[in-house]
Amino acid sequence: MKRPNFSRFKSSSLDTTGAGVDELVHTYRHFRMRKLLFIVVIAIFLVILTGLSVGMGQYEISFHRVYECIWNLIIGYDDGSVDMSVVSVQRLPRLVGAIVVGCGLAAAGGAMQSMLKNPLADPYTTGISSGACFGATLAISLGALIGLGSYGTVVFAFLFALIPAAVILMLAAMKKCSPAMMILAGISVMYIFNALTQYFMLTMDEQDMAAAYQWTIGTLVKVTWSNLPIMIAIAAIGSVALFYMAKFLNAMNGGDAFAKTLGIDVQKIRILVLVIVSIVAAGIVSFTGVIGFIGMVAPHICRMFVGSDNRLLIPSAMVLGAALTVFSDIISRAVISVEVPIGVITSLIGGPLFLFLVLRETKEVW
Amino acid sequence: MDSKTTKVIVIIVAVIAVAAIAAFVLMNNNNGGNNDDDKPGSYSFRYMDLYEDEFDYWKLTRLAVLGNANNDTTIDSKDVAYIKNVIRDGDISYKENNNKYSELYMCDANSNGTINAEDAKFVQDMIDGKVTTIYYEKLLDGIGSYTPAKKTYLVPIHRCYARAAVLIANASDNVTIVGGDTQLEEDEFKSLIDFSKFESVGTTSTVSTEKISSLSAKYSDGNVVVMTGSTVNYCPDYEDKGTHAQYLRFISWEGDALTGLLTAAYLIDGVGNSDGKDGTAWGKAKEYEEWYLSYINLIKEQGAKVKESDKRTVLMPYLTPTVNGVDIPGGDQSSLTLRGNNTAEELFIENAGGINLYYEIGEPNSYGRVTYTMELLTKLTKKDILTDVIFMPTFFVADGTNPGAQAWDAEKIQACEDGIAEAFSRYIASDVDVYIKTWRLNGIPMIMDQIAIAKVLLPDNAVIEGLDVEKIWNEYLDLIGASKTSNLRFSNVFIMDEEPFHTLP
Amino acid sequence: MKVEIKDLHFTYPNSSKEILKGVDLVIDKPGLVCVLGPNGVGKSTMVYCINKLQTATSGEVLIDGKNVNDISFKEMAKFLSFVPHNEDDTFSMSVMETVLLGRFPFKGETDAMTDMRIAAENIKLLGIEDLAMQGFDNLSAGQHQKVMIARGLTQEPQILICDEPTANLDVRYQMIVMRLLRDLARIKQITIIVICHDLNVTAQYADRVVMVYGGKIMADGTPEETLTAENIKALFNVESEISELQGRPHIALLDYDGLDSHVDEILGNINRMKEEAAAEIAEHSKE
Repeated sequence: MKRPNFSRFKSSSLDTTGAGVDELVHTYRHFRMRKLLFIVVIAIFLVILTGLSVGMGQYEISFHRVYECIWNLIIGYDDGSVDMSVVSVQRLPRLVGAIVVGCGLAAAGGAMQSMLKNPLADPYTTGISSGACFGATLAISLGALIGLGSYGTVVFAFLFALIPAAVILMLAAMKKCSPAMMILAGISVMYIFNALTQYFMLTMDEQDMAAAYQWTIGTLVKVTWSNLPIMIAIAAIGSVALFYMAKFLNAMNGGDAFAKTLGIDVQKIRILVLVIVSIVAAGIVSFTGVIGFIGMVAPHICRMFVGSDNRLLIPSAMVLGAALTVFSDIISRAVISVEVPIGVITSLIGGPLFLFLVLRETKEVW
Repeated sequence: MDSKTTKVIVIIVAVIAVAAIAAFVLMNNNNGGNNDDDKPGSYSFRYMDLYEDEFDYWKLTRLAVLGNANNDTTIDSKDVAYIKNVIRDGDISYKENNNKYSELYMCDANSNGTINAEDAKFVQDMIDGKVTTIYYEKLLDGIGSYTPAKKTYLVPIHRCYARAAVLIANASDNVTIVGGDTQLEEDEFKSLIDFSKFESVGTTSTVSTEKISSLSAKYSDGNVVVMTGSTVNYCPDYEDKGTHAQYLRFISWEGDALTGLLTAAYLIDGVGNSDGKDGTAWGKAKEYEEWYLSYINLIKEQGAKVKESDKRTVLMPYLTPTVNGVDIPGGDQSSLTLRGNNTAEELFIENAGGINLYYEIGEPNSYGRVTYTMELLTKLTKKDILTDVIFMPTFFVADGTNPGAQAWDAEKIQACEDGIAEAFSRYIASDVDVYIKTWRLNGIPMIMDQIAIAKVLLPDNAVIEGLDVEKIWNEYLDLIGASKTSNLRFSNVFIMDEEPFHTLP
Repeated sequence: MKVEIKDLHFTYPNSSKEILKGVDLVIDKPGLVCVLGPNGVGKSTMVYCINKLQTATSGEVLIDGKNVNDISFKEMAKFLSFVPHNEDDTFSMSVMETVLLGRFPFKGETDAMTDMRIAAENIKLLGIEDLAMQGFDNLSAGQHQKVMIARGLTQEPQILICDEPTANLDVRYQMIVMRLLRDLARIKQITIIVICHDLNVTAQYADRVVMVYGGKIMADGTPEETLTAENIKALFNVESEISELQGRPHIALLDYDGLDSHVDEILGNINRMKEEAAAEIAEHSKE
């Protein structure tokens, strides 16, 4: 047998000295910077939308004065004017609520999409929204008997929202559960809860039925400073947790087998992501009802601009989600004299937008 | 995935869920519920809670302002004396002498949880005009506070409050109606309010906090005051929404309507004005009280003469009857439902020598309303509970587009009557007089309601017969300051057949 | 690093059929090792027992004397990397980001700059630096493989396991990839274990060939030693002729009647029908 000729190996592609490598690293960092730029641009847009949103309403207040009031609030100075009260008590909770909802749902949606490797996934994929609706309906119909009051509805909605997630968790724990199985389980649970909800609605008092139906349509009207802290806490902690999981989700992109060989416990990560997403989504839904599309569309659009690296995707989806929600909130109050619930607007905007994205289908996304 | 990890994850989820719920509940416990602050209004008992006790406060005509220790209709030296008397054996505190305090809560004029000499002084200061903030009993929502100002700009929400607001605004140059809900755009108020200054703030159920804030900013030289009902139904928690307006919540029909008027008027300009000077709201309210009570007392006198065995039994539901769940007129007439509970009108039945059957039949639902289905009504026809009179209140005999419209739709009235007659004919065996009655006069004009009921229940009474309805209505218009501007005829705002329509088996 | 497989048995749970019936193997020298065998014979299973993607029913797998059951996935990731067969590119990242994933087992131990350098070096090594910022899903199958190999190398492993890297590649890329793997094994002095189907590519580039058949190792040695006509007949049930080309065995596969009795029957039927038809036509033309 001939001995191999090692002289063949001396080629430039094996040149691993500094020069080409530095260039590559430099190009890569530049590449990442450009994506960060996207986040910055959206953030600026969000600040402008804030001014527009807080400046809108029957009470007249100038664009400039809006920012002045917000600044006063931040530094803790109250000039006692009606302007300040209107901004801080009446308008700001909505705005902050919109931002929190947008951030939370988009982060959760992005994580769900990455984990399930499905571009159609959103935070409600596991049936959370139907669980929450059922919980709220139950609370409203029992309300008079138990004397729950408004926060009873929130608590019930939250608890029941977690049930579908729990079902899927147990499934995942009992047998090795693929993403497809998770989605299917979520759909089955959704059907069950929808049926139960409908049954209750049919047997309820008219007034209660109207209240229950109204609850299901996403709205920011019920967000006040007293319930915002909880929403903020849940969304903030959840988003940070999901951001931390980003690296794991990236690796799982390569398939379960590959991820295992990197040392990742794939089942555990899936379950953890599911738990976090469920809590974030349930926490938001309990206060606002079902606000759809933000959780699906925001990460989707972001993928087109920043790619699928979750460490960039999740933060940018959060910012874009917040901007989209604030924008929808503005539209919901601007279009006709009566306020349209934001859940309607996000669907009206999200639907065609999504259709447009589907038709435009570029390989980068799919 | 091992079971240990599963358990850990389940526990984590459970902990987070419980923590979130606990935190939320704790944070919300600050609203409502008793707490130990000595802040005024931090006690949650309300006069309605005393409903179950022997002393039916809600039936009284009273001034529901704290400091009115003897529960009459004014704040005067008698109240000072009353307080001094009750504290003779020591101070009475909410925390330590809860039962006693509950009976005597009207003595806690400064609403700090203790009845003591300070309260007596506070009442004297109220008489002398030396206090800035006073406390009153809100409808259903505990104790509220009010800080009067020289100028008051009223924003009534709901026509019941608008009627009181009209009287108050017309009585004083310092009070103006500057806004209200869409109900004030009804015909009834066209001639009662100066619409050049009026701005709509939305519908009754969706009052815009922003519009109220705008009014507050506009009228910063005085008080912008929203007059409305309990927070559950109207302007929920708007006190906390930074509108810089004050919210007066008082009775308009839930009990004696005068109570609400007197309370509102006193708060606005009763401090330092116990005598009720001319040109003040409080003065006018006192005048109205005298007029109103003169007729009530007259009718009570006549009603008292009726022998027990001659008393007529009366059923008077509260809401528009429905047939098969659909408001009359409409629906096929197979099952008639009457829903409701009476309130002020209960008093009117008793005053006129009638017996109110509301409590005899039917179980109230969670809203306190009884639903009388046809099956229940058949009980009425049995010998043991005979009903002589049924009043059917309804909104819907008016021209459908505007319930307050002055054009009553004769066809609709007929259809209503036919519907009820048809339903009754299937079930009611006995001879029952049925009257259709509007609901339009809730609030201070309820005296007209009383008179109408008296005329039905005491048909043979000469005194009652002698009551000239149009004349009394004009007296009312005069008192509310509208007769010069208004062409509001009584027959256009209130309807009751002179004769009943009734069914025979 | 020394990989030892001792008396490995494997049966799928819920199955009575034993796939591996006692496999013994020692790999203790760097180089390109190709594992050959027909589908379903258990070659993938055997290899997956090394990187713990499968667990043996009985027997031992030792790496440097330590049983793999006592090595966690995390620890193993620092010296053993895996190049999967192909990848779902539903959400793909750029090539650079994909390759950087190889640094995952070392998060917290190295800083971002070092990670990027190592990834960049491996991208250069594989000659795909022009594709570095492109999306993974824009690449051809061959480029995919290169990226995944680069990613595997970025883990700086002692052992690299590749699952059928040449399966969907065109001829040129098959050769390029296998050549690359051979060179890498030598330069980096690592063991590369490749699960393979292709005989000639294996013959051309492998340092060692392991043949798996009947649940055991049928043959183990250099390509010349193992790639014989008898072995190939035993393994794949095909006839072949072995010659020498560029110093390596070259396997020419032979076709023959009797290769597949079913096919022979069909062909026979077709021929018979043709003859009968021709005879009929001859008869008719006579008339």
